[in-house]
Amino acid sequence: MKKLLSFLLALALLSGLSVIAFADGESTGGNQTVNAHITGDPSWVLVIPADQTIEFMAEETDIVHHDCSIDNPKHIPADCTINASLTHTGNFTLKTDESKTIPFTLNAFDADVAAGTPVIVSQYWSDTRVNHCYAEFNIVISRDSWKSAEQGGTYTTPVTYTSELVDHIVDPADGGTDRS
Amino acid sequence: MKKRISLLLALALLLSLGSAALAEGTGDSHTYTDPVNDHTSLEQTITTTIPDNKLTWYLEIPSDITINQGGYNGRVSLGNVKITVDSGELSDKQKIEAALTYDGVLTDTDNTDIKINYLLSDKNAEPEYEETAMETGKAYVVGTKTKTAETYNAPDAWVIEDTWDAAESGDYAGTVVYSSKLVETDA
Repeated sequence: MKKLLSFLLALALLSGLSVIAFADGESTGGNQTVNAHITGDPSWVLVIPADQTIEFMAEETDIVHHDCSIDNPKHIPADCTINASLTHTGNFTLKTDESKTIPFTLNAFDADVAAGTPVIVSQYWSDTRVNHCYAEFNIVISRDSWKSAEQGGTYTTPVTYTSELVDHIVDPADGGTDRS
Repeated sequence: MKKRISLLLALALLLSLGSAALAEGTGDSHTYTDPVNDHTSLEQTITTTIPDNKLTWYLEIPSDITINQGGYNGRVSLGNVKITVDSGELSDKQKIEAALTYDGVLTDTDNTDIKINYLLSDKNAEPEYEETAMETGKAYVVGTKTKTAETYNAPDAWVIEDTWDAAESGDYAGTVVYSSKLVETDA
């Protein structure tokens, strides 16, 4: 059975070559179609900025400074955006006593971003295939807030990043509306 | 063959570790492969530390002044700075110093190419002589606050008579820069 199969395959191969042999020297031609069938779901890697320390009495600190990126995007449909966004809590919390806090505001795109409200920090636009990472996401702590904070302690706050694929081009500079 | 594959896999792993090391300065990462259902979030931690003795202060600087004609006789005091501690307390070994620097140049406000020189003189020096004027570009302490005392010393600003007479008519302006810092002492 195997031999028979091998024979048939060899015959098929020879017949294929013979077509080229017959065409040799004649003014014949034809179209060749090249096909590609690409499969795979959209995927990408979200890389967020490293943890950061804010100096005592610093009134404005950029926490992103271009370090949030959408890397290795694959199979992203046309005219889609991958948005990476951050949300914040609005308060630093004393590690040893969560009831002790230092309030802050987050300023981005020349406006204050309310706690819990996502703001876009990085984007990939499939039409231009460009990854944009924005900067100047400033944590603003007022002088009065620093002064009111409990002495001698370490405070932390989480900044949460997530990303999503949306089916149109979004530009945060236009208030998150369709860029086109 | 298996060994070769293992070797290649190990090499690939090393290469991927190498690229992770290159991403210094960045935080966590996550690969999204299911955009519809994957809602993974990553967390960046922002930390700040409040010192045990939370000392803060502010520095009040004097308002703008205008120098008069007349050489040293036309001198005008810059006015005193004021250091105020608004949280915490200075220890016996700490003091806050306020200092000024100046470049000694007044520039015509209508033509920045035209400049004249001016001087700052410490009231405690011999101010009549140009040689005793405060050196430009050098920081001079004009205020000190300790736990128990504070002293301030406002220099005088003046223009040498000959410079004044030779200058073109116009309005001239210059800048005195003030700063303050905490100084730890051995006392």
